[in-house]
Amino acid sequence: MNGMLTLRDVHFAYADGTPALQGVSLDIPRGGKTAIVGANGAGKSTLFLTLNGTLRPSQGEIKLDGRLMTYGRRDLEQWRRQVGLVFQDPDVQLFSASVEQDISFGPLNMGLTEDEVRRRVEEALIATGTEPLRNRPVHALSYGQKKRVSIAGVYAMQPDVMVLDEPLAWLDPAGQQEILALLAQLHRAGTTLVMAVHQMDVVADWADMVIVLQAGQVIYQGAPQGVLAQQERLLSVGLTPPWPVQVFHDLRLAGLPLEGEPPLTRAALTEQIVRAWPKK
Amino acid sequence: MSGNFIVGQYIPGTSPLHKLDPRTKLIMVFAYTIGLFFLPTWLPVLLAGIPLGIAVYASRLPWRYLLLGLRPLWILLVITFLLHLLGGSSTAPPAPEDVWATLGPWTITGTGAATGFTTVLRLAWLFSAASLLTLTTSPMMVTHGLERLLGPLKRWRFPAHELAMMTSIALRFIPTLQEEMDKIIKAQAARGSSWRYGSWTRRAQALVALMVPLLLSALRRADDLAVAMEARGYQGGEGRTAHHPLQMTRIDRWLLIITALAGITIILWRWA
Repeated sequence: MNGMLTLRDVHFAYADGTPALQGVSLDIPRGGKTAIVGANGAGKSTLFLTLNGTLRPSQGEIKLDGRLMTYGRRDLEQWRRQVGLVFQDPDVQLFSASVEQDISFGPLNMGLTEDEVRRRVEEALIATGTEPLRNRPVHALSYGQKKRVSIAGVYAMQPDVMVLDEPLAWLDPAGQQEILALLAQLHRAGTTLVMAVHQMDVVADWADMVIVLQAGQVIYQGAPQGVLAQQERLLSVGLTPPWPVQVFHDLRLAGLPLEGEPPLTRAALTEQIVRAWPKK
Repeated sequence: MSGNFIVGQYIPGTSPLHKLDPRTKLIMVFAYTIGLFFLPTWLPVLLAGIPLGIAVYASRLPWRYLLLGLRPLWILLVITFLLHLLGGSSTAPPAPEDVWATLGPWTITGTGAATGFTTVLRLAWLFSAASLLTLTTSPMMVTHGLERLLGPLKRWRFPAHELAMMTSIALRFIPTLQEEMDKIIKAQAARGSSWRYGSWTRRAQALVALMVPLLLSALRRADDLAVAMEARGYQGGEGRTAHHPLQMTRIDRWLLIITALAGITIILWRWA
């Protein structure tokens, strides 16, 4: 596995003594789509802030491209250039007078030439479909538009890894599909994606790697199939399995002789049901 | 709430006044304000309205906007005028030929009326000039202009960039905080609390109940924003790309020269 970001035994506690991360070790593969799941308070948001050096762990090490990160100014600059963070609440992130200005904030901080900043802002506006909003004040946007603009602001910094904290939260189904399509597009363009999600159905469809956090510890890292199919285990850490897994177990309880592993997708479930049908 | 007309809120446009460099406008408003207080009597102050009128014309904004801008000020203007009118402008007893009428303890004098008129005009011109600046210049441009004007002070560690950044963030969050206040009011009203009704003590309590969460959320917002800015690589003004370099045109230079000449004229005239 080609680890892009590697965490080894990372600990972090907040100033009031609340431990948020307790020995987290994980690998974010290059070019992957990693979903980070866990109940509220499991440490997802804290983990994300440590992933680009905004929070400094009290113990443990973080490597970016195999290089141990220190917290000097140069390192932090490099780090934030390579790992972009999209916050859950876009109102936290957006603060400039207009959409265009907000998107330019990151690139300006990087000290790029003005032409380069302009070019990147244009690119981000087009890639995220926010071009028609460019001169709008950020506080006048709808929630979904704000989400897109906050993604555009990080996109313009052209990070190797984009880390998104619950990008689908509070969006209606159409809004969620739009964001997922945008993420798919970013992924095709070569960006490594990491995102926190609550809906296991989305994880099943989207991720090629799942990391499960519980009480500040990684209790699973691996392929989605390995954990999403385990109903009991998911329920025990406060997560709900994808609905095909639930239906699979329900049908088995009801006496339908389904075989093999619980399916993660609707298509796989239908196929298993069709196969089991004649035997009944 | 934020949909209402807000006094002095920027109205985008392409008029000659909109196109001026924000620095020019800032300097002119500043000079105009100082100049107003150097003008001694009502006639020159009245005439000072002419450049203002030209500026309004050049802004291609409806006159209504400026009058609307003066509306919250009118009580202050009336009170100012009355104070001058009734109180006179000097402590010495007024000359008999100056007295217009006597109303009980008050003596209305010509001098009082003239001073009152002058002061009211000064305030009205000053306020109009300032709102004309914000009506035709986006908050961002005002901030850029200020940052550039105060830039030379950076040498003495004056935080020009930080000040500009602070101003623009404050402006951005006014509507957000308004919205938040609205939400809190509604959420509390839904549970039967209101600072609009009831006895004074109840209202005061309700107001505290409103201010505390509002203040807390503003503080939390500040904290979150700081983290978010840092996450996008912000480390203060150093090393940042200079953004929107402001460009003075020939018109800007001409206007500044005219402003300077007008200033010198007023000073020389007052000196003599």
